[in-house]
Amino acid sequence: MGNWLLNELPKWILFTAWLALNIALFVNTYLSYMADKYVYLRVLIGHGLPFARSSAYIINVNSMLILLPVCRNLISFLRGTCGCCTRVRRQLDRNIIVHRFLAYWICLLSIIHTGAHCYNFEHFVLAHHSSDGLVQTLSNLPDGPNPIKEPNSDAIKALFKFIPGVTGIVLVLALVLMVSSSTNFIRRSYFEVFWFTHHLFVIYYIAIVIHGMQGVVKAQTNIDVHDPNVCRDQYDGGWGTATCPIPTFEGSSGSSWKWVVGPFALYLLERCVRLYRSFQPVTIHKVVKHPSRTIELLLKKPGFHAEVGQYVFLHCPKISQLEWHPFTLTSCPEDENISIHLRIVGDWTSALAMACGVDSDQQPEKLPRLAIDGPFGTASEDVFNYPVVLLVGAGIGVTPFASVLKSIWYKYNDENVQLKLEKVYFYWICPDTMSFEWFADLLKSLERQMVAKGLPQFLDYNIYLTRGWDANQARNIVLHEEAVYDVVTNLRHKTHYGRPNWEQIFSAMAAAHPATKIGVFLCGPKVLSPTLRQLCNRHSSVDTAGARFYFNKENF
Amino acid sequence: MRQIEWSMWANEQALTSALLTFIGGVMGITQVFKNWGFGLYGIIISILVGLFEYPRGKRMKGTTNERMYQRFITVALSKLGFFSQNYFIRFILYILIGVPCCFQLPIVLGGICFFCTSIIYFVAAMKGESWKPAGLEKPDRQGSQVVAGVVSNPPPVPPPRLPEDVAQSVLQRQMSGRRI
Repeated sequence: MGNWLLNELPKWILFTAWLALNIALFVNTYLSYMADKYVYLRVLIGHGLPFARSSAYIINVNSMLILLPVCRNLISFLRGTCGCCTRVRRQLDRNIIVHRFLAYWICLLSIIHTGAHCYNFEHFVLAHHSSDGLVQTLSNLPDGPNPIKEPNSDAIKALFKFIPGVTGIVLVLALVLMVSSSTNFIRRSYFEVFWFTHHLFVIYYIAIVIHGMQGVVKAQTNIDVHDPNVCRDQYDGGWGTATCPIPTFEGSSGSSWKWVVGPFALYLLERCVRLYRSFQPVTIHKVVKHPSRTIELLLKKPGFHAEVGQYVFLHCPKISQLEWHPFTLTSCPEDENISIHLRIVGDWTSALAMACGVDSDQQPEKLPRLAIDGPFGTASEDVFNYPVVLLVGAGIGVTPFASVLKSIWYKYNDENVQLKLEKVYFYWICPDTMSFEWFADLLKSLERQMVAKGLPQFLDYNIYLTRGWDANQARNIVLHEEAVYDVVTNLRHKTHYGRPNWEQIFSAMAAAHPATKIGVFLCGPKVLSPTLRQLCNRHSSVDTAGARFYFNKENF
Repeated sequence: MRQIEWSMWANEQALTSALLTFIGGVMGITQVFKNWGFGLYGIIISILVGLFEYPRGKRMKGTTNERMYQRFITVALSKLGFFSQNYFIRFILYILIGVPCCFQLPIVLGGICFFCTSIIYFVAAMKGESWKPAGLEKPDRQGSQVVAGVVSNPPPVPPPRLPEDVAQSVLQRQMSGRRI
């Protein structure tokens, strides 16, 4: 229980606070629509109204919240300002999960809201045919609570005569299209579909602001002279007298804009920053070709500073005016140039490689203009806050660790920097080292430097090949079993085969580092995350004598 | 980025539309709304569409993430031949499905979503896509041999490891020994 608290408590505190806020607002709005000024409206449409309105209220609140986690600059800024409180900061890494969770919540609330309003609307239409005299009278009042005036109107045709009806359809449609195009499968396989469809959010927000403005839901304005609880039975001739004057009604104007305007402005600002950055000059210093269709871009941008493990969005107007692609920086803050390694796997990267003249032999006359948005932070900045760190990179997930490892090495060599970090364990798990030769090269150069400085044990790294080996490699492995350097990677540490035994690694680490904070950093596919998270919780001890593991995950 | 296959999105959109129509249909058969028969239509058609769209088609390139237990329906659908494979058929089908939805309030949104589905399927059909059954071909063990030095098989034997207790002590010794 105690171990669990360490890693998961802040998350659940936030969740509980959010849930409490939602419930409180729901109940509060529900009760406010049970007030006397809505008595006649409830006579017409029953309890559908408070349900629809309270869910609408929470939709507003969550539509406000859902924009915040996708404001990258805002999150980077927050991360920078709460430098001391790691626990709070680590919650910021879950931004996309929060965004998705809120989206599901909005969908559920939209179903409740739309369903309730379907009932309400049908009730308004049917009110003209009601046998109840009060309902008839209310429906026929010239400025009465029933927005539908014609007795024999068709519900669907009538729907299109109201702004809330039309905007409601637009809202649901925008939401459905956004949802259907952002399922995991579509997002991973056809990112453009997801990305462009998601911009329907602009329509969504415009519609949500207009949706309530017509004031179709009308509250009674003269309850002080016309008490509905007293006068409701005197509708037949009693209304219009001194005791019960004719009830008057007025629609409320929408208040959604108050909720969404702030975050929407923030997001707009975010996009303006991106637009501004797209005009800032970036020069390509050098293009290096690596094996396995990987190229390295060395860029220069004045005034650009990035922390370790951050990523940027790259934009090339020559290829596409609209597309921005995220890439992890492989340079560290101490490096002179910004460097990015990219694999040529898709249309955009191929076009970029072509534009840089990688595929052809002759140099292009002019390198393409590039723009950079960022840098944006991820969890790896926290590496320097722990005395011991365990870095786990799986597959493509090793990229952020390139800059982390480089930076650790630079900082370690700098006399002026007091490094809190004492020990680095690095685990690299991949199917085969092909396509990551550049990373092995980097490790190799680090290793050479460490040997030259007489510090070969500075870094403890383990490489695990999971997919196996062919006959040639097997022969090589056997032949070079005794050699100093590994045959696959040419590194001093021998390559392992299979998957790491995390249980063993964690208990060994806990035993080796008592009373120490250990930061665990994972970057890679999802499947590993729960395993490591559980192990972190299991092997942490609450008392100060034992090791404590803090789990951090990078999102891709 | 790979070439976009619009039918994959249309498939998701069809399922979402079916879900909306189902919810609307359930509301529609309550006594509040006129013409409850349309509500019933909504329920039945959404279940049928759900079954029809549940199996994901085979992607042109790369692996297809099949939905859970989709294989049973895939087999049935692949027997329908042209009807299940051509996306122009689906384009027309969803327009036809959507029309009756426009006569009752709760399922009208489902109907409009079906029209969207049909538009996306039209785009897919224009791009020359068609539905192909996924996951029905026999897994051939001989087929996955070493191709040009790339190892595609997982190792048949587990990696040589020290016995559990020995490994543990070795690891501990290594970790406590190496400090910088």
